[in-house]
Amino acid sequence: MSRGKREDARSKSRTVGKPGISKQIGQERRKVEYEARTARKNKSGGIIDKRFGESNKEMTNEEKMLERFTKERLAHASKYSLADDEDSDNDTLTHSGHSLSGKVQKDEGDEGEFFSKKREIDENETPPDQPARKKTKAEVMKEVIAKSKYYKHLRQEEHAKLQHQVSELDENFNDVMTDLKDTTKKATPTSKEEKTGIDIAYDKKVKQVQLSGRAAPADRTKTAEEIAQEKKENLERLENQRLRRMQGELENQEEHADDLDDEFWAGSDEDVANGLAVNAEDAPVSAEDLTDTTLGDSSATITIGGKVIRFGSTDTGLICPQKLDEFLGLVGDKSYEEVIPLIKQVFKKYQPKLREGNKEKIGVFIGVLIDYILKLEDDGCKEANKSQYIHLMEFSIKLIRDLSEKFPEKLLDHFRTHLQSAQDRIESRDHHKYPLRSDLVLYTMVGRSFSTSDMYHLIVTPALVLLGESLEFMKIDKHITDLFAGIYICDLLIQYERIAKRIVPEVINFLERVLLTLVQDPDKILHSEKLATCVKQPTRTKFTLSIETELPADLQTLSLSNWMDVSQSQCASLLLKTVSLLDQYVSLFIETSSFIEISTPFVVLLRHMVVYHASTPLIPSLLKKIENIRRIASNEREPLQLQSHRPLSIPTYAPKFEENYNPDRKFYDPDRTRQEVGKLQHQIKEEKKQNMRELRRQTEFEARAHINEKKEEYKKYHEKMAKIVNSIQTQEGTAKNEYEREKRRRK
Amino acid sequence: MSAKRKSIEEDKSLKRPKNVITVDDIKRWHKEISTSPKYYNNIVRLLDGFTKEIEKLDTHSKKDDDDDVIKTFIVALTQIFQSLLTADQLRISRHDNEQQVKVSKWLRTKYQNYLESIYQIWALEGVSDGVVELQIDGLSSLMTLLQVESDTMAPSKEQPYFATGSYKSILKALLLTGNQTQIREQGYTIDNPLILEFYDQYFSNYWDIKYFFFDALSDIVKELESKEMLFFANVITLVKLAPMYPEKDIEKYISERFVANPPSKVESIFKFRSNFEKSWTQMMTSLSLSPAEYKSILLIIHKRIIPFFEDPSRLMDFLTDAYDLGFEEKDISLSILALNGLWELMKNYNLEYPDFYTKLYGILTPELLHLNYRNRFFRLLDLFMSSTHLSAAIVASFIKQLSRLSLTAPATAIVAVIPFVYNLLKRHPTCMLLIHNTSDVGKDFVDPFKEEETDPSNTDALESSLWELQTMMNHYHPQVASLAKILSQPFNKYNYNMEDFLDWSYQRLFDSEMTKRFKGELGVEFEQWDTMFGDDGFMKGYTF
Repeated sequence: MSRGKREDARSKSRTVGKPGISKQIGQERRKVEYEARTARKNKSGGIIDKRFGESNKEMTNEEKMLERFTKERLAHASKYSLADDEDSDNDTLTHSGHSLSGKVQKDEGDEGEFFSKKREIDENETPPDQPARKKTKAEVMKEVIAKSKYYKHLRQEEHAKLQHQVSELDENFNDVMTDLKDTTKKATPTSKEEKTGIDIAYDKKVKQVQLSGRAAPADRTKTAEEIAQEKKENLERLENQRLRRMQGELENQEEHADDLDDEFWAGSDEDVANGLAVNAEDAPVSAEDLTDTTLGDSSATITIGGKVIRFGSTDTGLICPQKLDEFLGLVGDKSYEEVIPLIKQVFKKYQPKLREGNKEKIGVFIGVLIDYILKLEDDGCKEANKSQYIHLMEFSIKLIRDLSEKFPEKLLDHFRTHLQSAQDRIESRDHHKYPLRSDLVLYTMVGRSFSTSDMYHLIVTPALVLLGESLEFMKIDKHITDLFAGIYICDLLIQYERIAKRIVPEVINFLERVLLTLVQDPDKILHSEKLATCVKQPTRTKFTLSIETELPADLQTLSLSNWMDVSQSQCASLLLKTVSLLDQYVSLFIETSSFIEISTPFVVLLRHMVVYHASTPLIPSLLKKIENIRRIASNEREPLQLQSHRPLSIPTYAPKFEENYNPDRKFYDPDRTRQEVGKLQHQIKEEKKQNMRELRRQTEFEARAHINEKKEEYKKYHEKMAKIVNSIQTQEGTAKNEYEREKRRRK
Repeated sequence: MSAKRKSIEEDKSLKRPKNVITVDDIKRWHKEISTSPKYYNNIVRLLDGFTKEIEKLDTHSKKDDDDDVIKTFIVALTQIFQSLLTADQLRISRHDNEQQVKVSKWLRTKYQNYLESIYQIWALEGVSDGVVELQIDGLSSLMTLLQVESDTMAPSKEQPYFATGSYKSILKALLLTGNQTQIREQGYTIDNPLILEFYDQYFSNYWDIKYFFFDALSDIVKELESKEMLFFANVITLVKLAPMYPEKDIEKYISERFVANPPSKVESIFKFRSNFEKSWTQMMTSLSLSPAEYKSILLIIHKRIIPFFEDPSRLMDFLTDAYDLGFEEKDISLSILALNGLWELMKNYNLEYPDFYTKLYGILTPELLHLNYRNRFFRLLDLFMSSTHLSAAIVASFIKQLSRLSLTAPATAIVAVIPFVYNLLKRHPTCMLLIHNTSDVGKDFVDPFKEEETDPSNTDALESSLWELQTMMNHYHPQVASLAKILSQPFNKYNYNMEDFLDWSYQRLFDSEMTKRFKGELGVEFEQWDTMFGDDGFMKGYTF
């Protein structure tokens, strides 16, 4: 028993291959398929082209197409169409002269009879008078459903009816309305003929008044508070934009793209009338000045779009200078005072509004104006007409500042040209070529016109690079102009960075160098190793102040035209200026994290200077201020923690422990997708193998079947031939027998 | 020249016609000498006249036609000596009789006299264009004679010969020509037309000239008594202009000869190299070099000197001297220049340098970031800092010191410092403490960094922080500021390629700003000032 059990278990677990049977099954299947295929052969499938002349090689393509077309048309025309013939209503189908209609009717009757009879039979099968059988649940349900369906149908019909009526009404409504309209029109009599001339005139006046611009309600005059409020809001808006630019965020363009143009071209009517396209609000001075300029001119008027624009007639021949030479020719030997009206006239005559192309001309003229300003600054002026000169310079520089809003792109080009030239001159390292006073004015113009607090600015950033480079390469111990220009640049950089408070290492370096250059007895400075610019003990320079030189009590106004002055008093006021600059920078850098390191050398220097300038209050107070700030800064100082980021998880690729590990399994790929891909590839390979085997078997089978068929055919043929031969032989035999018999008979 | 002065001169010549030699006189005497030896005394007359004319040049009392006279002198004397040399008149051979020997010896002294008078022209200072022309004429005359002498004066016929004696005396005079003012501050080369002519016509073209130049140079250095600066500048100029010989086609290059048949040792590159080496070591040891001169050598040492040395390790003393001198003089650029060579020697010849990193740390002075050589230094420092065996304290000291220096540095240097520091932090993660220190330091925290400590392993920089670089996050240049911000972002980047950051100049910064395109937006200052200068103006305290 136990043995049998074991065998059973084994036989269960073992998959038993039955090659003979499976082969036979396969063969039978193939046989069936093959027979089916051979039976269908040449009988079904395949496409036979029955189109006209497809296989006719003697016809050209055109001929074929033509022939096909005519055939098609003919086929179409010959088809019998009931709908086409209108008088075919009377046609009836006939059969050997008799109309078929009667028969058809009769057929219909038959049908009806047949159906009714059938229905009767149906009803008869379930006789109604049978005692009421208890209805099954299904039947009850059926009845319920049938009833509900019936009512539903009724409701639907009603609804449809209603709908129909409504739509009918809708359709008729238009007709009714047109009828009504016609009647009202006819009711009003034509009163136009009665209008008199006065009426017409009156009507015209009314129309005119209605259409005239004055009819529209004017904006209410704003109160002072409202104007102030608006101004405040505008400033706030600008400040917000500036703040965003300072933080280096990109400006959203929606507010700005057309803003400038609109304001300029639409909102400045009065200014245009007064001659110069400068915003009146922004520039009250220019507006007043400009009205002055028309004094004495017999002004001509020009009407554009119903608006009257006056302009001086004397300057009709005025050109718009496109080069500095042209402008200088125009200026000639006019005094500075006379140049201002000239500039105004040019702007007035070439208002962009007056003629196409003026905008470009003015754009170029602005460049000329900048050239002129810089040239004037380099040429300098005589003491006699200094106030006029200053007036002209201030006027033109302010003008440039005002225009920078209107012509940003032009000004960008002009300023870039000048900055580039400054850069080229710096690179030449020639103190005669750089710095020029015009460079200082140029940088100042940039700072005054553009928003210097921006993180990225197309003009300010390169200007800053130039300023930094100037401070880095100026030889202040050799050339007084370098010294002056450097101090000026440091002062200018305070203005540049007054809002953003960015750090300028070049300035820190430069201020220290200036102090070392100017201060008395630099070789006696204590703790000179703490200085941040040099390791050697500083030495005396050309501009070192003599011991007895006292600093001026107050800051002197420094004159740009006086920048070559090397006198002790000038140097002393430069030193005082530097100390006050240092004061301002200390305030600017007060919050930087490395204030202690920045200020260390200055403490050394100021301690040295206190000895010589104890009477100047600025120096001790500055020293005290710096020391106080340093104390606070060192109290607040903590180690940096720049890397306190949110911790990120680290991806792990450690090998995983596999439960139920099976060494026969080939893939333990941790990557799911890769595993899937592998599986599929394996599957493809297997299927391919199987299919190949199957195909091989099939062809083998077919070859065998063919041979069998052939054999069969031969067999049949041979049998047939044998039969024929046989019959002939029998005939021959009979004939021979007859012959023999005949022969015997005749004998 | 005024007419009056000229007439006076003419008067003089009328009064004392014997003392003045005209062009015609010279030509006549020249002709006579070529006809017969009995007129050899004319040479004396010519030489006397010649020296007198030269003296005139020196006193500046010369006329335009004086130049012509001197030129004729030079031409005539050159031709005379040339023909004498070719006629073997200067050669003393055994077959000559006493008379001939006497004549030859006499002629030789005259020949020497002639050379010396040319040196006299060369030695003139404060020279005008005309004199420069004469000096150059003199040079070509001497070189022609040198050529003829080498070709003819061989001890025996057909024997290879180069007139080294004459050449040495020529060089001795030539290398002392020029003027202090012609020496350029940068690179210490000299704008001496005579030297440049010598270089163009002879030194760069003929190998034997170059060979015997360095053959003689070390002896000349030994005998040198004065004018060391001029001598040095002249040699530097000659060496600096081009490599001694090209790397390819050396054979072809050294086959260019000035004289017809020079000694065969000329062909030995090895011999040349050892001569070259000997002359340079001689110069480096016996001349008392100034820091500027040290610098000029260091600037060319890698391209022009070391490749032609037989044994570069002989430069060890020179380089260590230069490196130390830089510290003594507090002139860091000198040390930076020497550092490169030192590194080569350390790498290839196992040079031991004590306290290397302490010295290296000493280079981090305030001047460093303002120097042009800072890129050179950063490349090397990058190399030295790549060692993984460095202690964190040393690395931290370097980082801290660099960041300290960046407070007064130009924007272009800060651009290099920040990625450099980043790389160091990445390479030595212990130093991350410098930017991220979470340890509780208590209330009375004082920056423990010892800035005066010279030994980088004792500065306690590791407990300090890089506040200076944090400050740079607010730098005025937006690129620098955003670069500084990488220190506060996660350290995801493996490394910064230093080459991208080293060669920035203000010009490059400026150009990159200028090429930015206008996008219809230009921030305008909305704050208004009535005037530019003055009390209410944009800039207070100034006026036009």
